[in-house]
Amino acid sequence: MKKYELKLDRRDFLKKSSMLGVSTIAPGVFFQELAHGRALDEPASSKIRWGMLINTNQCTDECDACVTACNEEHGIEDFGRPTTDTQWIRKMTLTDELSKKSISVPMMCQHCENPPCVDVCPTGASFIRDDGIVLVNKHTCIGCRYCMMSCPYKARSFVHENLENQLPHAPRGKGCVESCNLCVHKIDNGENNTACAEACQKDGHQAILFGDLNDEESDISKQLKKYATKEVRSDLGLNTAVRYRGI
Amino acid sequence: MYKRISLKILLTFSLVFFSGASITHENMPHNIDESAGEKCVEPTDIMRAQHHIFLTQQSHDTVVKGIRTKKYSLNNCINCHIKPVADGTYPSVKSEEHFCSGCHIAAAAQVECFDCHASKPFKKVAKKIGSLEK
Repeated sequence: MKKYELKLDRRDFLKKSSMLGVSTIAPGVFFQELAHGRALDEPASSKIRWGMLINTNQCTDECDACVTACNEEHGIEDFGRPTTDTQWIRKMTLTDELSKKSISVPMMCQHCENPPCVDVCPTGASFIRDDGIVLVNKHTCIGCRYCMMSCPYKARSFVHENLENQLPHAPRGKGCVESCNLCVHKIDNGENNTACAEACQKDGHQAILFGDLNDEESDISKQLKKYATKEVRSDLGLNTAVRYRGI
Repeated sequence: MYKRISLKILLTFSLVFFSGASITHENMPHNIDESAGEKCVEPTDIMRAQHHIFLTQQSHDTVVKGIRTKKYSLNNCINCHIKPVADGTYPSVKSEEHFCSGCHIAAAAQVECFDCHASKPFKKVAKKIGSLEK
């Protein structure tokens, strides 16, 4: 018969007993911290990488709830000039030539790990935040639009018009380039969801899933492991944080 | 080029300095919402001299690092310092009744924050209109 021995040295014992202590004494505190995210005075951490999984099988052609929600959330107005109007997220329709099967794809900033927009920015206004969100620092942006030319996803827009009545959490102005910021103000306030994903869930499509790609226990990581997903223009080696199913 | 910039700065400062007698705390509009709080986050003389430094630091912390503390946030300033005028609307940033513009117009120092940032408290407007619930 096999004899089981309990092999614990001093260090192991201390480690395991302290972990047990945390989970038994203060489970409430621990879970509360997870639910509320980081504190307001705590900077974004590189332990997290925010990303999205878009299931095009559940996205319909007629619905544009994500686009409307994004525009409302950030106060993006329509000036009736479709070639220059700002768009942070847009709906695209892809049709297969052989089968004529169409799919609808929401397209926005893909939050690349190696973003071309950051490479080409002459002032350092385009940058990646520690948690993987690609942003424009509008205090440093000079509106040269090199980033717009370099982006393979056409994700960025230049503000051509004078704006008024901007929302306090979404400062926007003429002469700056902007794009999807993964609702960074919501993330910083611990909501950990984006306006587009919320709207999609509300409409019952559940096509957009937002979450932490570095957390193996998050829904998004589990789905990425379970299903075949694609990166748009994976040939460019940008390692995007927005992945697609069904394209 | 640097010479020209430094000359401009010198000129601006000297203008502010020499016209300082007219820009005093007493004769500037003080349309503050007292219900929002008893006092500012720093004493008045420090705020008057250094508010732009606090705001620049805060803007960097917020945009680059994601720190959203309320103390030096521009939205926090606006929520206290901008109060409705006689007809119940908030003053435009172009008018002298706006707390920031009051001094900035007198000192001829252009304030560019509100090209992008909200110049009025948002929640209070939303409550009045009732449709813009946020």
